[in-house]
Amino acid sequence: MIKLFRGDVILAWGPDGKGGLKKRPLVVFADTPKNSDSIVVYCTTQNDGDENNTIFVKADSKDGENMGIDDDTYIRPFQIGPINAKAIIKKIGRCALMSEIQRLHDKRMAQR
Amino acid sequence: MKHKKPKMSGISLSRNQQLQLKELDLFIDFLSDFIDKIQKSKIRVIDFFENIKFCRELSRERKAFYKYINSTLKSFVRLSEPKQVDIELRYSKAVKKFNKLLPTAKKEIESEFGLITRYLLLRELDKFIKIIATAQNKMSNHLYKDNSQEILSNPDLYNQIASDWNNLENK
Repeated sequence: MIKLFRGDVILAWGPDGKGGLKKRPLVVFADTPKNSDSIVVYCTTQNDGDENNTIFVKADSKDGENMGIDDDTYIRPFQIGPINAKAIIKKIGRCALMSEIQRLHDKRMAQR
Repeated sequence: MKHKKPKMSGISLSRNQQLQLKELDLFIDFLSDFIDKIQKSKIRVIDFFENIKFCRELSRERKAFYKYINSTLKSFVRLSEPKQVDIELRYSKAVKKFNKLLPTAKKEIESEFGLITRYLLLRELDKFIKIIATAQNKMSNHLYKDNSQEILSNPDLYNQIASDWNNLENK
């Protein structure tokens, strides 16, 4: 696997709930050396009513095109964690919203 | 260095042309040009012989494109990893755009051309699609390893990845 940089958008294998795999996008939160687990920001198509703490990106917006996403996506800066290097499929784009992600992440940290 | 854009006629892609690594971006330009051409396919010719001429022109372009891509892929593997990642990403995005245009282009060909021209154009389009898909696979496979079978055949690894996702989803 290639070296990844903060702000890269990747596709990763995730469980599909039926014992198989499905591809899902994630935003890389910290620079990652080759073949290493990566710290990523969770992305989903649902916001679960938490609009203040998510960043909505429309697939056909400029940000969405740069990210390489196919569906409208909510980035969830409160949900950051490691993902196994083997799960990473490829880089699909760049996220220009890292400062907003960082701001929401810092806000969460200050609340703790 | 300012790059000279290749002509769709293929004339600028002579047999002996040696591509420099710096000219690799032409690869992307060429694909974008082809997409533009599909978009402009509404500018069709009515005369049968003109149609055949148009198909032959497309065929020449496809052959030139094939040679060009093969030559470019040889240069691609010699580039630094960041440059390869950048090119693969831009190429993938161009292919994505191309795939979005395909249904409309096929519909236009099917509804606006006669039987023989339709057959020839669709055949050319299919050949183009194969070339583009093969080039994308070659680039992707060079940079990225497909771990899906390894994950599915290794329950420990599968559970580890499922656990990573579970932690992300439930933070």
